[in-house]
Parts: sequence; C-alpha cells; structure tokens
Amino acid sequence: MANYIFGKVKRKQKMFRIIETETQVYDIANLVLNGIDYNPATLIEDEELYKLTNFSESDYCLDFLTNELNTVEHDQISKEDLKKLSFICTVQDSLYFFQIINSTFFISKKWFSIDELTLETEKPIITINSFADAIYDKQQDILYFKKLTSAQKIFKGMDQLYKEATEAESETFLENDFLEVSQDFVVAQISIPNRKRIALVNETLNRLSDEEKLAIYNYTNQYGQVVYENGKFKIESDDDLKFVLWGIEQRFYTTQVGGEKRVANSIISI
Amino acid sequence: MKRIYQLFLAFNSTWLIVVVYLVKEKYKFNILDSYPMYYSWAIFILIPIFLTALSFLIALKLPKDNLRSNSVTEIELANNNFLPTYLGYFFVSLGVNDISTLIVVFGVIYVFTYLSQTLYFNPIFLLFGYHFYFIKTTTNVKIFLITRKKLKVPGDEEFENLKRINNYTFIDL
Repeated sequence: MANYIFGKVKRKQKMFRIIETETQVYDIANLVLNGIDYNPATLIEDEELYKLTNFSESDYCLDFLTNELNTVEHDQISKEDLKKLSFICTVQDSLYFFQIINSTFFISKKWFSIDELTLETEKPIITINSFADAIYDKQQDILYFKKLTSAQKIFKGMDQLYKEATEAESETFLENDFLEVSQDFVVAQISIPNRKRIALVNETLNRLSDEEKLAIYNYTNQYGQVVYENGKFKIESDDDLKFVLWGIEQRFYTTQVGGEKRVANSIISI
Repeated sequence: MKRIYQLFLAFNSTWLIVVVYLVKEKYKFNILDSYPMYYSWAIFILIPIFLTALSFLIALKLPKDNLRSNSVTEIELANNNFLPTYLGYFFVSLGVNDISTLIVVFGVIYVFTYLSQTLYFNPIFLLFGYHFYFIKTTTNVKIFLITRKKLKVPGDEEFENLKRINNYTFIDL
C-alpha cells in the first residue's frame, strides 16, 4: 500500500503532492489512538491526546479530509513551494498524520549522510517527527491532537474551542452583581489564563438558575479564599478573580478521607 | 529526470513528422542501398516504436498515484483527438522541401508539444494497446489518462498504480 505525503503551502489553498513511498512513515501497528474529548478545563498528560468526534461536520475541517483522496487531483509540489510549507500531511490507510512545518523542521545546516560521505551544503532537508501534531482517523471521523495551539495552525478557526474573553466580555463579567471589583483592579490587569476562564464561566453562568447561582456563591465562600460580603465577592487582584472563577466552575473539593481542601487543576466529566 | 522523460515522450510523439519527410524524399540508409527502399522506411518507422516501448520501461520508475473508482464522474474517449493534430503534422512535413526547413519545423512543433504539457498524444501508444481518456473527478479536476483498460462507465475501474507524467497526464502501466 502506497503512502503519500501532501503539503500545504503558505498563501495557497490547495494541498500539493510531495512524495509517494512504500515505507511506513508512521508506525501504525504500535499506534494507540485513545483520546479524551476536548475540553479546555481538561489538562492532558504528555502521552495523552485530545479528540474531537464527528470532525468532518465541524467548520474547521478541511475539504482535503472529507473528499475521497485521489492523488491525481493534486499537483506535484515545486521546489520553490517546498520552502514555503506550512504543514505536511502523511496519509497511511485511513489515517492522516499532520505535522506543522516551521523553521526547526527545515534543516539547512551542512550535513553528510553516513552512507555516503559527501558534505551537503545547499540541500536543506525536512525532518518528520515520530509523533504527529494532529491525527485524523477518517474511518471513525475523529481528530486527535496534543495541543490546540498546534492543531489550530492546521485547522483554522479551531481556536474557537478555547477562546479568551475579549476586553468587552471581561468588562461585562466584572460588572456582574455578585462581584465587587476594587477601584484599583481594571480589565487590563486580567491575566490570559483568567480571560480564558471567563470565556468558559460565562457559559456556565448562563445555564444556572438564580438559586443554583446562590448555591455556587455559598460553595465558593466555603473555601474562603475571597472575602464574600452582602452577596458580593471582593475582587482586589487577579488572584481573587481566579478563585471566584474556580468556584463557579466548582473546582474546589474536599477529600472524602482526611477532609483536605483541594482545587482541581484539570477536570474530566465522568 | 522527469523533465528528460517528458522531453523524450514529446520527441516520440513528434518524430513521425520526420519519418513522413524522409519517406517523401525517398531517403534510405546507405548500408541498405542494395535493398528496396521499403526496408529503410520500415526502420524509420520502427525507431519511434522502439523508443515508445522504451518509454514504458522508464515510466515504471515514475512517481505513483491513485484514482478511486467512485471519484470518476466523467469518461471521454480521446483516441481520435490526436488525428487532426497528426494530419496537420503530416501535411506540414509533406510541404517541407529541404532538411534545414525540416529541422526548424520539427524544432518548433517539438517545443510546442513539450510545452503544451497536456498533450503527449503519441499514436504509437495505440499500437501497444493503450487508449487515451479525459477523466473528470468529483472535485471537477480533469486529467488525461493513458491506459490499456477499456473505460466506459464511471465507477467501474480503480487505478492504484498510475504513473505521473505531469500534473495532468497519467499513464496506467
């Protein structure tokens, strides 16, 4: 079975054919594709992957993935275009392995092959990582990836999955009547992690009824990190804001045995 | 490598111009002086046939491509498309009167055949049982396919082992 490597060139929309090879570029036999549904509140371990199911129905899926793959439709890449690659895609069976190409994968140092002892000077090479930045399983229609920041370079618009609250959204959030924001604390001081949390919390808050909201505020207060008076949290710093946001997301918990108070750094719904 | 192969194919498909001229001028090989001129003419014609056979061998080393059967939406036989072109070539060479004119005319036609890219029509392919087709895929890409298979209904044949001559022309060996 022939495997093909395709490439996307900057400022060109279509995918180009790069090479065809009988060699297994990625070791499929030992590949375990087992992902955790993507959620910005979930942090994964180094060996783990996020996944997005029904990926072909999403807005950021590429036509290249949904169409039947006919290599005859793709033009052979030219030498000039090879220097402008933004990512490459290796197709093995029904798996599409994506790798972002940036200057670190584009080696233009002097090198020699161990088999052939001649020094190469003007022959830059592109190296392929042992692990891809994103893997699309066409049969299952699932996209696997490690980092959203990398995946969104390939699938434009994927950052919508984990956006930061804008200035205006943050402003609106601070104006909520359960917060009493100190004069000294302004929107510009909100850190990026907190902006991301605000974007998430806004959705959570919208889903809650007034009673539920009250319950959440009381719950947050139980963990007593931020002063809570007259139904308002006193926000004096970015840190105070972080604790309130954690509270709304119900990140605080007490261990069953030992009763230790903790905050969950990452969550997975079970 | 690929460029040389393309030059070679263009040469094969235009060489008949020279053959027609040589036949018209009743040229023959010196060593075959004592034989009827038909022997020499047969050799003139055998040259492109032999070179075309050689081109198939070289093609085996070309990069591989695939085309799925369910991606073909349109098949158009193009076997006859080369005829007008070739008749044109033949009339031109019949009108040429000397070798120097022939060289220039052949050169011009050769260069344009090469540059036209899409048309590697070589009627000699037909002698080897190959057919020419225009194929349109589901994504509206039209390619020129040279194959031994008889194509009629889209979706019948699958091509796993196509060879890329250029971005529009593929041969199925």
